[in-house]
Amino acid sequence: MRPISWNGPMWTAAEIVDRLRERGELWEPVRGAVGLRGETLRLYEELAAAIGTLTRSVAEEEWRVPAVLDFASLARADYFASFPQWLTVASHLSSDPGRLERLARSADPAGLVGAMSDPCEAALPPAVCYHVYPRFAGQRVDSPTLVTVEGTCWRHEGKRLFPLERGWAFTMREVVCLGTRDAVETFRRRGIAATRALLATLGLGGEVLPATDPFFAPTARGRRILQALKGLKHELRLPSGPAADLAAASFNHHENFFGEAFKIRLPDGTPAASGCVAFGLERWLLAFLATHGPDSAAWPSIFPDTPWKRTVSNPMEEAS
Amino acid sequence: MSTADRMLAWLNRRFAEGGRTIGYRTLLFEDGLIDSIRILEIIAWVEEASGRTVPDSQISMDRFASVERIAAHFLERSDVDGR
Repeated sequence: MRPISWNGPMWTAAEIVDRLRERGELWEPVRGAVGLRGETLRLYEELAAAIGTLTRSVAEEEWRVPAVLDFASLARADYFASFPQWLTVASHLSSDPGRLERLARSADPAGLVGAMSDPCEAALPPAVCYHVYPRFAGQRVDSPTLVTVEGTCWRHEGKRLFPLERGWAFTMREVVCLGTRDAVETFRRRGIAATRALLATLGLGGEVLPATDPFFAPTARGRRILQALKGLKHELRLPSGPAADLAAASFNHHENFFGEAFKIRLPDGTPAASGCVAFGLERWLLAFLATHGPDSAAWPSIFPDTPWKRTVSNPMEEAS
Repeated sequence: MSTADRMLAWLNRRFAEGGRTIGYRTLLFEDGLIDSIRILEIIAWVEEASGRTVPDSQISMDRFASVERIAAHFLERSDVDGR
């Protein structure tokens, strides 16, 4: 992968993570799930707030979504034919007294938990926008409808997991747009412009490039080609080291895929189009640290008095 | 019949539904005419007709939007000039 242009010195992701671990500000109790504290947490929260402000400025509503999704909604969204390779599911310990007693008496209860659990009952969300479409199922959207959501997402990517860069659990902030095809495309392009403005404020390099999703076989190639051919997906790639970059945001046009799947209609009765702009917050943290270094004295201010917040009240509408 | 003519006949036989007709300049990727399965069928047809592999990197809207574009970029030049 080609590095994104950036003129300054860069830290590697490994150097950043080592430094944060030394300071006790990052830990990973389970591979792929990180905790943060101290200055690093403060920075993360500021970045999350900046991105949250950007998305709230365009969305009519903010939702607090539950921690799990039902399988039926994912099936309706064709998830199991699209990205089943990532899915994480939730179960619980069996309520059977015999099993619980066996666990309680075991010398190695941690090793027995899997065997003593019931079948899984819910999915941990692989993207927060999957919470949104089912709530509009069967409804009509009379004008562009925008919702913003933030939550923990789960994607198990095996050996590729690395703290902050590729988490099993990570935080996603999204804006979902439902409306006409043109309205969704306008929303997507404004999202790209507003995100570029935020990059400049944060002193980050980066490029928005065409991209495709890693669809699961056997339909993967056809879906990937169509997505690329129609220009339906772009990613913001941020530098994350001297010769590395990562996708820190994506700008997606779904055409009428979710509108058809969930019977979301326009006033003329045709399926609504949808799109989403998604930000991976831990990746913004890593890119910021790789660019500006792990020591807070070198970080540019992104607190409430920073210029973009004062002057850009509605960046997705004003940027173009 | 040129290769482009044969492609057009095949596309109409295979994909044209509801009385619509696909012409040389019909935009194949509008109105959901071509889905993720059909695009693979089209690529396979072009590969067989041209005797060449079509890598994904070569598939752009500029080269694949219509039969006219596909013929110009992947089939013999005479197919376009001679129709």
